[in-house]
Amino acid sequence: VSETSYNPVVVEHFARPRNVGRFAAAADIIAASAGDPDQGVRFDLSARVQDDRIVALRFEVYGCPHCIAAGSLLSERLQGATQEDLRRWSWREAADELEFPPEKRGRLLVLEDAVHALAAQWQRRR
Amino acid sequence: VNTVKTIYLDYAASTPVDPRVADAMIECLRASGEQGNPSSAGHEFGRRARALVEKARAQVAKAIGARPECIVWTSGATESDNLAIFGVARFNADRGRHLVSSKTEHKAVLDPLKQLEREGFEVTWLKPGADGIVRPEQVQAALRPDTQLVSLMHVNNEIGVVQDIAAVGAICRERGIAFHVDAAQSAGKLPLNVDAMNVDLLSLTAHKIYGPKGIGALYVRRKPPLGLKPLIYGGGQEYGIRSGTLATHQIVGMGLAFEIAEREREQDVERIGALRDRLWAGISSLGEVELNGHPQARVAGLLNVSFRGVEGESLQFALRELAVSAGSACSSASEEASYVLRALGRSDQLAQSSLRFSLGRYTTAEQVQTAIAAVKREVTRLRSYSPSAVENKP
Repeated sequence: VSETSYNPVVVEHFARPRNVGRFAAAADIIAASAGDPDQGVRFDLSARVQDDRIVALRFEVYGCPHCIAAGSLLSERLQGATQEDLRRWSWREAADELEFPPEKRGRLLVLEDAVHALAAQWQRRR
Repeated sequence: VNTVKTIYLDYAASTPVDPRVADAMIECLRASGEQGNPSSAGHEFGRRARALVEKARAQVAKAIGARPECIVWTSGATESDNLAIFGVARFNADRGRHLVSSKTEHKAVLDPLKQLEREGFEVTWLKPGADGIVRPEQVQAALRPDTQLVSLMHVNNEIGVVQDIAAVGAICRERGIAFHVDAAQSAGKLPLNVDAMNVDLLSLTAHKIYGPKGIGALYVRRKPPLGLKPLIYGGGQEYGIRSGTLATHQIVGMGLAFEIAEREREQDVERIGALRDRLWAGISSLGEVELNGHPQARVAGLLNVSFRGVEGESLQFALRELAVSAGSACSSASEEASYVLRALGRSDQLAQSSLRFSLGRYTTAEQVQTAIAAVKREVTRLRSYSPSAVENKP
């Protein structure tokens, strides 16, 4: 595995992932997860919501460098997102930007599952 | 300018050529060197090249306690394994079609055996214990009247455990069954004696013992003679067992590499073993790490470690300043978890989160300290990203 196996965005986020962690359970916190380490990837997402928007998102990940980068990128992109944004979020967005290898796209679907599960959580909260 | 120097800890994949070996090989290739065909007995050029080939044959033979005429040059351990397995199986096919081996053999043994299965042979695949060791009694129990060959590696390339070859050999010898041993990972690390180990066929390679790539040998028992059907036909070199013009410079390199390795074996092993212990002490201080394979019955230079709560590819990328292997170098391109670690009963997750560190002749204490620091730093970092659910998994 060398530097050239990944695009520069992946290398950067892998070295310094943004917003790693989780929010403790509270009234304004929603959380969801997807995946299983035995299948090579798991994402745990938690977000603080205010009115109809996410004001902060934290993620935890067990996965390959592409997955760590995807979680980190997502945590930046979903700041300010609405429930509808979450529901509409598709793995393709991260796949293109991070140049996900085709054989790893299943792992991004796991992230998509986690995002959609977060939206469902939010819905139930209301 | 890349100022970060990668530390080479992958000696089990291949070793650098010892400068003394490189010098001897280069001499062969110069205009003043021996450029004749070793099989050209009719003139001086050929005879001088032949003399070098025979000197090397004696050097390799001496390192394994064999007579020189038992050494057959090949292109490496993969060819030696293929020649031994196909050679014995096909030579004896009308007498019996059963073979015995283990699930943790190198692919160079597994794949020829699988091919034989497709050709109608039957293979009993022994499952080693969780420590990676195949018990001699397992071999005993697997033998049948139609068994033609037992093939078992001396030292496992992924985890470094040492099999009790002498005991298995004694069982095979008693039953008159041919016994093949892949010794690619044990030459220069453990004492080798084909008679004491009751071995009939022994695969060797130069590039794991500070010699060049592309040259190996197969020891073939001569007394009583062992029937072997060749894989390669042609000029009838190597007693008709392996045709092809002999590569004088490669052979010279392998001969010298084996002589040096045997002469310096004890001091090398002591020094490398101490560095390996230091590396393990450093890594294990992290906690939640598992040493793969038997803790004592192992070669000096190799450590295979599973890290809990860290994904394998991220671990490898995070530690790219260290040249180490995830599983076996030959198969790490594939996504599947190491079949060796799976055979030992490790979960997919632990098998994927394993690294093989292998140390050698040029490894320094400073490199080991740097490696320990890098492993501790990066494993701690990656674990801090992990969902807590992962860490709580059994």
